[in-house]
Amino acid sequence: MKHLTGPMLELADATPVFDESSLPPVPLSLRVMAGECVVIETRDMSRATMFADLCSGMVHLRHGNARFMDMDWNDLDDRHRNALRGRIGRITRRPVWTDLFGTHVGIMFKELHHTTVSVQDLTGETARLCTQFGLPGIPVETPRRLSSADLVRASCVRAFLGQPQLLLIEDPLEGSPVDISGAFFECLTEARDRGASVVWFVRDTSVWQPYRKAVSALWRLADDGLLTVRIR
Amino acid sequence: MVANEIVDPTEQKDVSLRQKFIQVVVPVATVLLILLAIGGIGWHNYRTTRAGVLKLTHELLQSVQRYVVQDVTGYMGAATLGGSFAQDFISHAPVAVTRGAFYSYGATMLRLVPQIQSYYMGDQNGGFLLVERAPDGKGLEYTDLQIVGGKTVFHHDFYDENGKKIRSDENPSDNYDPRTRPWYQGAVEKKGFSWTPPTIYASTKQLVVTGSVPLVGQDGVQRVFAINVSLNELSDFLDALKISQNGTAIILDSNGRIIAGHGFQSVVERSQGDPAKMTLDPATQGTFKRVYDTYRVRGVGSHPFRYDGKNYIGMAQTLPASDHWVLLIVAPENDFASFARQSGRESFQFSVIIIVLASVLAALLARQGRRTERVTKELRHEKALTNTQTAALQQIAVTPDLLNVNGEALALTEELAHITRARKASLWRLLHDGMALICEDSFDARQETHSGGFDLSRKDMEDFFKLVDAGVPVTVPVAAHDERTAPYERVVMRDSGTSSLMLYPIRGASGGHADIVGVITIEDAPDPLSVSYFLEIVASITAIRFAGMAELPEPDKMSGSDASAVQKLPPPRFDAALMQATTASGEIGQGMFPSVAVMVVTFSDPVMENGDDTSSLLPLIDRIASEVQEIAKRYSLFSVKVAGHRLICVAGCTKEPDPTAIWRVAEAALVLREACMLLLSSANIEPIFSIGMDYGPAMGGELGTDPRLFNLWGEAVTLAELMAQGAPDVGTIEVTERVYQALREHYLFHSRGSFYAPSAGIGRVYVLATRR
Repeated sequence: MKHLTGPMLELADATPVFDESSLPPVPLSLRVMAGECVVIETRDMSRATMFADLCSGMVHLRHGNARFMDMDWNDLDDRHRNALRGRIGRITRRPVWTDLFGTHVGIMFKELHHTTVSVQDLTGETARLCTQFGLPGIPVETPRRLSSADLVRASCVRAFLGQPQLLLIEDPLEGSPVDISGAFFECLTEARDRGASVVWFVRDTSVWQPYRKAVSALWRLADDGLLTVRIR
Repeated sequence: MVANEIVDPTEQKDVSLRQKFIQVVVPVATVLLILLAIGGIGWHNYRTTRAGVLKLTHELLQSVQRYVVQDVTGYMGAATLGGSFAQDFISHAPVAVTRGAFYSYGATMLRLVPQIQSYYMGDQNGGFLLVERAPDGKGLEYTDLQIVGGKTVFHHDFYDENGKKIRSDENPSDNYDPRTRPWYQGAVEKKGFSWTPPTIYASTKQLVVTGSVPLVGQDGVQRVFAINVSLNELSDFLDALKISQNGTAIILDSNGRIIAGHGFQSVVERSQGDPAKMTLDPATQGTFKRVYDTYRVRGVGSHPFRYDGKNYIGMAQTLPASDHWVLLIVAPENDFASFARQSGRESFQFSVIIIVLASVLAALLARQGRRTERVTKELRHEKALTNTQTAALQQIAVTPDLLNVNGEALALTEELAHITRARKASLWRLLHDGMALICEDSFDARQETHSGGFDLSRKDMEDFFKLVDAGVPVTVPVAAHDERTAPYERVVMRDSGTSSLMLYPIRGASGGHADIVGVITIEDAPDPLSVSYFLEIVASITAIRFAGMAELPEPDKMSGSDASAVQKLPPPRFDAALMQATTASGEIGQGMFPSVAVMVVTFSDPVMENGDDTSSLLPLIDRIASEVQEIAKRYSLFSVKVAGHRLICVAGCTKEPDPTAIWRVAEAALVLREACMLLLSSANIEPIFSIGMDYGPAMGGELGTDPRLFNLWGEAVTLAELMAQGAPDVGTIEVTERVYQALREHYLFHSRGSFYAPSAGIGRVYVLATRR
């Protein structure tokens, strides 16, 4: 497990600009260490999306700072900021799939862009993850032609592909037409064993209950900011 | 961190390079600029001063020239003016006193003007008069050309300094005729003042020039008055003239012959007294030659020139009272500009001193800057180290069951390896009065795996144990080359390929007194002692854990007690396909059993060669079944059940926890594996089985009516099946963490990692290798 001297993700009184993000303009503080899994409950998943953007350095801050892997997003130039985002795996409810290419391109695009991993190795890894998530292989049809169940699976594959250091997951389990919890938890555990941190946005408590023993902290994101909740 | 990234976001920016540039290049560049500025100012000053000095020199030389011209004019003026005076004075004198007037005038002038050597006067009748200084230099000598006895003789009258006649003398004139002399003819032809070329004066052997002027007396006789002027006096005058340190002057006549000048004596010697040969010698008087040539081309004036690598100022000026004589003055420029050069040189030397001082200061500044940078870096490193250690301590502190001796504290070795940047960190506990060391946990940072349970015996490596007993931290750079650690390297380190070893003692209470209770080994750490205080903390925590751990029973004793306990157990029951079910033992109840050891063996279909019928395997399967029954009896297993491809062996179905159950099942698993391996290999079949084990609570009981069959289900059974299915390779025994916890002191395991099981959540999985 690779160690960091500090937390993997740290928000220190990060106050987002409301107009830009619709996030509550209050100081948000959060520390996620390597290997930790933090669950953030929020009723409004669009807010979760914006919060994930904030963690990815895509939201301007009025005060405070947001750091990932000991690097302040604000201190980096565009080139390094984009490169650093290559270390984040995201599952988002924002429509991100493009029909210009097949789903396989959408899945592997991030790794192809950020790394020099050979296509052969990348394909092998993608195929493994696809099989793990219950896909018969890497989907090559355009995302529009995939079933919603397979699209959820593809989203998971895309997020876990390339051994990301931070996983910003807007819960794929709730409302998923299929049960992918087994593969999802396996990948989650594997990533955490590797040293990755997980921020898991959920709408409902029931979703993460099967995994509750392994959850490091529980927070609630509401209009008044980020509140810690005792795990029961 | 992530391999193969095209852009590494953590890459160092070239800040350090910029800092180095600012710290080193800027001071050096500043010094260079100062150097250039000082050099430029010095050069400009030198040029300005030199130009000023040369201008001044020029004016000075012109003054000198005027002075020399004036002096020479005055020097020669005695002749020319004297001649003009004598012309009027003698021509108007009555014929009777002409002779007396000549003598009086001549005597007076000789007394007054030192450079005048003598006066002549010749007439058209061949008469000749001469007045000159007496040979003793004090009186005068009057000479007259007389006819005595038909022969012409020179009659000499000598007078002392008071005008008193001392004596008279005569000598033959050798037919001397003044009318044939150049001075006579020149004056008559020119009808005015004329000069003869320099000649050697017979009586004094001095170089003289003769100026002559014609005159006609009242008697109408043509006479010529001549004046001999000594050039030696002129040379002495020019020699005495101080132009500059090395400046010289020379006078040439219209034919380029040297009249007078510096070093005239050497010229006379060189020409052997012949005036015609007294010309400029290019070898020794090259500078004058150059000026004279320039003068002949360009006329009078100042002519700076460069000769033989030196700059000179040359001046040429005609002398008005002479026969087209020219005065040449040559002075090296250095005589005048040398002080400017000296001043420039001194300025430059001072500048160099200033530059050296400035350079030293700049170097000091740069050094200070670098040192500050280094110290800052060290401080930053220290801070990072402290942060890392604090984070590691936090990680250890939040580890559950840190001080629980039954729990695992894997964080200890992980953080040790992390902080020391070691390849491997291990915790060893001394057992049996220091006769053995058992590895409680070993973490391989490269493979990120934990292992442990293996032990070292004192009799195998006495020196290594002595090193442990010494109780001091020891660092061995190459463990294989040190005889104390070589056995350890061979047994433990060689597999992982590590070379350096560091031992840190674990002190704790043993037998009621402080003693060494174990040792921390760190392999391939760059500088483990730099974090010694962290090592001390981990050692202290480990000591507390060790103190709580009971001394392991001797393996023999354990086997003995187990064996005796096993004797009391009922015979095994074989269910289902393996054998007719036995009647349930009376003491076995139904419901929950707290500590059941379950072993599941899964067989897969064998790959048959040569199209053999699988039915031919039946005897083999039968033999395996017999072996299983035999093993079950030997280890008093409670139940052995076969279901399709799976064989389920159970022990410990008692209401009270049975500590021997898991041991018996593990032994049975090892023996069964060995037996199966043997049987399958003898039939030339690959090992097609894998074994899974779990240990924990399960539910079971007699089911049905005729026959009543015993069945067991629960988490232990499920996990044992999962272990068997998920075994990494055929023929391996995969066990859960609970089995590992129970057996790790007696068996060797290696960790396979953490796995998420849908029914059981996250757990670590181990592979049982063999007995210790």
